[in-house]
Order: sequence, then structure tokens, then C-alpha cells
Amino acid sequence: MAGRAPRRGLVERYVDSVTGRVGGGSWLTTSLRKVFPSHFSFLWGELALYSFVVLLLTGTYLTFFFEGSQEIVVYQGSYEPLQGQEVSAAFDSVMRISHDVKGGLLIRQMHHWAALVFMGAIALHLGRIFFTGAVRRPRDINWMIGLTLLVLGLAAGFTGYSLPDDLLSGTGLRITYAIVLAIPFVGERLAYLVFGGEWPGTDIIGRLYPVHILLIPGLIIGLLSLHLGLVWRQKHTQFRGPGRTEDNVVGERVWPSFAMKSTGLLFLTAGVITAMGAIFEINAIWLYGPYDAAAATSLSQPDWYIGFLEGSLRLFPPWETRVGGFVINNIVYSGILVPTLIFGGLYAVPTIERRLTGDTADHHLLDRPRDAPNRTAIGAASITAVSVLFLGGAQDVIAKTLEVSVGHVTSVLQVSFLVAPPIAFYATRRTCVALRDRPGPERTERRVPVERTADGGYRVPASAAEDWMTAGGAAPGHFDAITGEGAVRGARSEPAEDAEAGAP
Amino acid sequence: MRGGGARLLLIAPLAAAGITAAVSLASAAPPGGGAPAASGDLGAELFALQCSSCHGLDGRGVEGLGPTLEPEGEASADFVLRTGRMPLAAPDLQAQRGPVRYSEEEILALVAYVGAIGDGPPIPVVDIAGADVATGGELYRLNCAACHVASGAGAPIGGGRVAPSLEQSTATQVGEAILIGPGSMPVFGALTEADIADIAAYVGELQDQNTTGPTRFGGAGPAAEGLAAWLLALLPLVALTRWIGRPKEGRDHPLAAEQAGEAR
Amino acid sequence: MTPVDRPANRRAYRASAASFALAAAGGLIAAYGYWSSRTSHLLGIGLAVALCGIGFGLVSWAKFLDLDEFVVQRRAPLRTTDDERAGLREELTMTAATVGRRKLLVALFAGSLGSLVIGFVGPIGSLGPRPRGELGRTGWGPGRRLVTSDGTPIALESAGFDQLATVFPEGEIGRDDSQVVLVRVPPELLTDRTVAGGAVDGWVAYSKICTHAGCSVGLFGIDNRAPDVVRQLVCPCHQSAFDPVDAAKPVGGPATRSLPQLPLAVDDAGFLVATSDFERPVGPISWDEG
Repeated sequence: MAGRAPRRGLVERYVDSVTGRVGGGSWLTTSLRKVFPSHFSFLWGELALYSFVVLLLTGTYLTFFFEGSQEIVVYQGSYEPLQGQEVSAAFDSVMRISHDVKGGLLIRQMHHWAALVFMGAIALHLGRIFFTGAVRRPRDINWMIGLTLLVLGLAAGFTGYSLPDDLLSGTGLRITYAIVLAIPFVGERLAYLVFGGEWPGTDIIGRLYPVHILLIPGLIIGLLSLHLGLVWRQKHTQFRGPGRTEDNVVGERVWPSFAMKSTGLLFLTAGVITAMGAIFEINAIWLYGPYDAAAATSLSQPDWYIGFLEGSLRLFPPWETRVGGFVINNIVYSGILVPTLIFGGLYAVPTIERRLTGDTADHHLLDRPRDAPNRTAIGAASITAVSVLFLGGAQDVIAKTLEVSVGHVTSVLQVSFLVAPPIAFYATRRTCVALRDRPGPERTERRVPVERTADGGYRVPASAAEDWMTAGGAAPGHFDAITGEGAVRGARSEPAEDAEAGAP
Repeated sequence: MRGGGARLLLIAPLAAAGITAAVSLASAAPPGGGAPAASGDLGAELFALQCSSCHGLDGRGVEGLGPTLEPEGEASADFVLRTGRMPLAAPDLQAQRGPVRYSEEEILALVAYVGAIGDGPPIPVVDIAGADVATGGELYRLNCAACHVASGAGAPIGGGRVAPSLEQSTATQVGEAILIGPGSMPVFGALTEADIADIAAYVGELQDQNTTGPTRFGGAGPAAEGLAAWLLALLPLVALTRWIGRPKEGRDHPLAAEQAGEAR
Repeated sequence: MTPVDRPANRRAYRASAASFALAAAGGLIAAYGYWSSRTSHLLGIGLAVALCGIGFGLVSWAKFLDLDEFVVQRRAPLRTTDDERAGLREELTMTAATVGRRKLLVALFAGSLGSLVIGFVGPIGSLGPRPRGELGRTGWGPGRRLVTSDGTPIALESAGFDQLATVFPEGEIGRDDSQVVLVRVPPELLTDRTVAGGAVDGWVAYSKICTHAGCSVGLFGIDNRAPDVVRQLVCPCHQSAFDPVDAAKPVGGPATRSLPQLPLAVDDAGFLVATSDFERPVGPISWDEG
């Protein structure tokens, strides 16, 4: 115990010496005392952030071995079924990482699993933001930044998928070449510029490598800093609830409560990804073999997050348009128009919402999805449509699993793409309205007994505390009745210190 | 002792079947001639009993039910019988791998009988001992993976037909399939005997690696991996955020929150 | 800060301690895994245990500390006040009045930046050569033999129908734009236009590059059982299907155009040869192929 005081002094001395030189002491204090609202869905963005941390660390390790070159070498590593084969230097180096670098396969598989988790966490986070109305002013600007991060994540994933130069990589790039080629007016020239000539050329892996490890991560880090900086500056949103208003934040302090939990989540995320990398094989490039333009494998899919584009390519009917000697290819519709519409729609969400509702006010309190039936229904319909595309991208796997014909799966999905979204819209809207309007036994409508304290404040008896806290979305009117003033004001103006029994 | 006994048990029916087959070849009237098979010929008996309803008593097919067996040969008969593809339950089904319905003796007899119907290929000798597994892999990816998948997991090939999984295919069966093109599979006539041995060796390598095992999600590729990322990684992580974000038990109500130091 | 002694807190304390202990063990397991060369599993599982242990430990620790989850903090308005706005406007007006007064300089400055951009277009052009019709040419030509990936030519008399082979022009094995899928079907099945396109004795050759997105059309599915006799070439990427007995016209999936047919003949030695290059560009359709 005696040794403890000097150690604390050391930390103090370091902090003192830094703040003494650059200032910012009070900023540091307010930052540590900053309040972060708790809700489990608020942690999904952090899942993405922490997967990205894993990606950066494992990716850095991989760059020490990877060789971004299509130069042909003879594979002489320890994996016998490929020995003596002519492969590209890129493929050779990934084989080396997988079979000859001790622990390399684990790191490589972690990197790949982390990429899949990263994109999934972004999708979850995006959904949470949309369905709770956090896209509204003033966070519309951060919505755009977040979407750009999503696009960059897709680009990072796609370039990474392409680097090993195996059969799947090459197949994906071949399709990309076809999409670029189909662009009206400039397609052929652009394809030559990107790929350095006629497919496949010898340049593309070497070009994608710096894009994958420098350009895209750099942009992600920059935009991510801006993204988080804006959250910090604008403060996090919170759900409606007792004591929560448009001009306060109710939650736990950054230090130490939130920081400990969040750091815990960092380790848990890394731990789950490591477990995946240790147990499950991902992208066995030694089976796919080096890229060979004449070879092909069934069940050749992109990683899941490109699945919507793959599905668009697979489900779009065989249409092409001829315009006086020129042709607007099928791929222009399925490979360019569809993704443009999807992302254009996402970027336009705040504007569309403003137009439809006429609501231009700032919002810091979140809606429950049911509170905005139209928004929720539009979101459900969009998710349905995109999900159909995702399923379409794996139509052969579905056909294999269900033991039905690929053609039937395709037809069902094509019809679903048109029919399912309106159904989803209608069903979701009905459900939201029913949940919102009809007082039912849901927990958010649960009444909680409140006691009057001696000094005129209110407190919830310990026996009902659990109910109180889970009633996070209780209607404000419920509290109006108690305080006579609205929960908002009531909470702020009444300290009710006697009720603070829990924390000494 | 035990090993020797087992070997004996194995050899006995083989020898018997071999003799039967030889006898049947020698004694049976040429089946191609359409003459009723001599009684006592196991192959002919079985054929008449189990195969002729679709392939005809003379093995030349029945319109609308089953094709002629003239071009099939021993290779085809051996393949379909040893993988349980024949006999089919109904003529309009796609033949799929199933339990083998005949004893070793019966298979040998039937193979010999069918082989004599036409001029189909004999059972190929696929010697993987000296095969080059790397070349086999290259040929596999060029010729086979398009349907059977790089991992050998098999896949649908349109029209409700499937390319089967190669998890259980023996070297001989791989060779037979390449030569005769069973079911929806084409014949790969351009592949040499050495090529076939190389490919068979590579298929054996895939089996040894257990490329369709559970930790590889059945060898089904990125779609299965994506599903795994959601179910095995993201779902637990979301559950963990639920645990982390859960309010503490037995705490007092939020109106009791401290108000000190509120300015930002 | 002394956490209140409650069962939940005691549980959290014990969970935290156990997690950290487990994490320490996990690190050692990982080290042993690396040292013992069982890297694929022990190393990874050890690391996963260590990471998850630390994570569980930290969160349990925070839960044990029982810190307040209902701190209220004021949310400062994010708007810019009228005074600040006025100040900013003043700055902008001042800029326009001083820097912007010399219109010529402003215009020249903008122009010089524009020309700089144009100047940098050149090096971008070096990323790839200008297309010179390569997409319309392949390695095929009159008299070029069809050979397999190991160089074996295809004899006309090779036995059997419903055959499939991937072939290249002799001397250019593996050339990407020249890959050809060669099938042999019973000759009487071939349509007239397929025969006119250069089929020989049931042999018919098509570009193996899908006209949809360029993957290799590697599947050849046959169902010769009446009544639904089907022969299809299928692309495994997006499931486009082509009919090999009828000039490889698209019969399913997203492809809009047939696979270009390679006209065939037989040379003096009895091997299959091409009589010319493809009539149309192979592979996915580009903008000017209307």
C-alpha cells in the first residue's frame, strides 16, 4: 500500500508535464467526465471500429510477407498438390503465409473473418441509425460520412479479395473488367487504364495492393476520425425515457465506466474473430488454385457484402438496349445502375425524410422504430429488396441446399424482388401503427410506482427499479402526470439527492 | 489371425464372383444377340429381373423409360452399380449416389453381362500410385471444378440437375465417370490415361484434406463463410453488446442521477 | 469508491477475477501452441481465450464497480449565434473586397489551377495503352489446330458424343481471350445455322468466355432422356445458359448474346483446326458493339 502513492504521483506528473506544455487540462477533464448514453445498439458502431482495429493489425502483419506482383514463379512451398505449378508471385506469397509462415494462416484467416465482421457491424450500425431516426438533423452530415465509410469498406473488402490472385480473385476481377467495359462512352478506354490493357494484363494486382493497404485504409482512418469527432462534438443520441430530453444526455461517464466496457468490447471482438480464425477455414486459396482464365469453379461467390451486386448481376433479366450502333449492356443496368440507385438512395435518406415529413428541427432523442411507421416501413422494404439481391447472389448455393433447380430459385427471387418489398412495407407499417397506438402489455407501457420523498422529490422504490429502467421508452405523458411539468423539466430541476442511495 | 480371416472372407466371394463372371461370359449366349439368357447365369437373371423393365430385355432400351446400354460398357455398369445409382426407383429421376444394392458377386456378374451388350469401354485401370497430384489439380480446376466445385462439394448445374459431391468417389469411379460421362456429365475424351490418374489422385487428395468438412462449411465457399460470419461471429458479438449494455440490477432510478459538473 | 456489497457485485468481482486468470492461461497456451508448432489450433484458441478473457474481465470489472449509469449532462446547443454569424459574414465580405477585387488575378489563378489539372491528365493516360481493337482479335486463325491444355490436338475420330474439352490455339496455350469450349454432340442434333457456322461431324466450338460478365463457361450439362432432352453450356458465375446445338444462343440467365462460334475444319492429319478467327469479339459486350 505504501508503494501506491508514488505511482499515482507518476501518472500525475506525466499528465502535468504534458498539459503544462500544450494546455488542454480542462478539456481533458471534461472529456473524461463526458457522458455516453447506454443502450446495447449504441455499441454496434464500436463493433465495426474494433473489427477495423483487428484488420489494421493483422493486415500490417500480412504486408510483411505479401508480394503484390503478377510475375510468374514456380511454386516450391510445402503444399504438395501445387508444387511445380506456375503461379503469380502474389499467389505464391499468400501460399507461403498460409503454409510456411508459422502462425501466418491464423493471421490471414483472422484478417478475412475480421473483414466479414467489419462489414456486418457496419450494416447493423447503419440499420440502427436509420430505424431510430438518428439520420435526422444535425446528424445527417455524419450519416453521409458513415455511408462513405461503408463504400470505402466495400472497396477495401473487394481489393483484399482480389489480391491473393487465386481463381476466385481472378473471377471477381474478370467480372469487374466486364462492368467497367460496359460503361457507356468511356468503358473500353477506362478498362485499359485501370487494368493496364486487355484482360488480364500484368498490372492489376500491383495496382490494387497500394490501394488496399494505403489509399483506402488512409481514407478510412481520416473519415473515421471525422465520424467519431462529430459524435463527440454533437454528443450521442439517446432514447426517450425518464429524465431524458432534447437538451441533456443521460448515461454513464466516459471514464472509467464507459471506457472499461468499451475496451472490454475491443478485446471481445478481437477474441471472437481470433476464435473464428483458429477454428474455421476461410478462403482456401490452395483449393481454388492460381487464377487461370480458362478455369472456373461452381459456387463462386464474392464475400457476403458484395453479394447484393452479385445478386443483381444474376437476377437481372437479359435485357440490353441498342442506341444507334451503340449498346447499353445488361451489365450497365445490373452492375452500374442498381448499385448507383442503392447508394444514391442511402445518401438521399436525410433529404427524403426532410421532404416527406417537413421536419427540419434538430433531434437528439431517438424514435423507437414504431414511432415512425413510414420510415420503418420504407427501411423494411429496402432491406427486403436488398436481401433478395443477397439471396440472388447465392442462388446456386440455395438451389444446392434445398435440392431444387437454379432456374426456379432465380424465378422466385426475381418475383420476390418486385413483390416482397411492398408486402414488407405494408406489414411493417401495420405492425408499427398497431404497436404504437394500441396500449398493450409491452414493457414500455408498464407503469412503475413512484414514491414522494420528504423534500418534495420523487423516487422509485428499489422493488420497482428494474421495471423503471427497462421502461426506457415510456410515453412522456406518463411522467407529465407525476411532475405536472413534463418529465424533462422535472428531471433536471429536481435533484432528489436523497434517492441517490446506490452511489456513496 | 483376425486380419487374415478378414482377408480370406474378402477374397472368397471375390474369387467366387470372378469364376462366376468368367463362366457367365463363356457360357451365356451373347446378350447382344437378344437371345434369352441361359438359366443359371447370375448376370442375366439379375438383368432380366431388375434392369430390363427400363433398359429392355435385350439391353437396347425402352422408349420413354431407359436408354440403350450398347455404348455403356463395363465401365458404366461398374460405376452405376458401385455408387448405388442403379437401379433407379423411377425412370424420370436423376440417378444419385445411394446405398449399393448388390453383393460383390452380383455386381461382377451384372457388369460382365452389360459389358457384353455393346461396345462400351471396359473398366479403366486408374493407377494413382505414380500420379502427379499437382497436374491433377490443374486439370481438375480446368475441367471438373466448374461443376463439382474446387472443393469437390458438388453443385447444381441448371435444370434441376446436380453435379454430385466427390467426397466418396474412388479413383476407379473418377476414371469411369470421365470416360463415360454418367448422367448429365459430358465425356472428357481428350483426357489421357495419365491425366485421368492425375485427376483421380487429386480427388483423393481433396478427400484426404476433408475439404467438405464442417470447419470448412461443406466446401461451399464464400456464401457459406458469409453466413458463418453472421451466425458465429456477429450474433455472439451482438449478444455480448446486449450483456455489456444491460443496466445494472437493483439500481435506483435515473431521477436520482447526480447533477454535479454538468457543463458539457 | 467502494462498490456496494450486493450479490450481483460479488458475482461480477468473481467473474472478473476468473476471466483475467483464464486470459493469463490463454496467453501461455498460445505461446505453447506456437512453440510446439501446433499453430493452427492451439495458438489461435489460446489467443482467443486470452482476448475474450480480458474482455470479459474488463466488462465484469466495470459492472462490479457499480458506477452510475444515469449521470445527466447538459447538451450545449450546436448552433452558431447571430453574433458569430455576423462576424463570419464580415470576414467573408472583407475577403471578397480585398482578395477578390482584382478580378483578373482571380480568373488567372483559377485558370492556372485548371490547366494544372489538364496537365496531369497525360500521366494518367500512361496507366494503360489506347485500345487498338485487341478485343476483336484472338489467337485463332486459318489452319490453327485446336489443342488441349497439355498440347494434345483433337482428332476428328475421337470416340463418343457429348464430349467436352477446353482447347486453345496451338502455340498459344493458356491465352485468355482464345479459350474455347469444344463439344461433340450427335451431328443430327445441330441446327442448320450451327453447321453453317463451322461444325464438323458433331464437333462444335465456342468461345469459352461468357458474353455476360466474362467468366469461363465451364459447365456442360446433358440430359438425353426423353422427353426433355437438354444440352446446356452454363456459366458458373451468374448461371447464364447457352444451347450448344443451336449456335450457343442464350437460353437462360442474364446473358443477352450467344457465344461466338469458332468455324472448324479438319486438316490433312485428321485433327481439328479453325478456319478463321471469331467473327465477333469474344467476351462481354462493350459499348460500341451495337
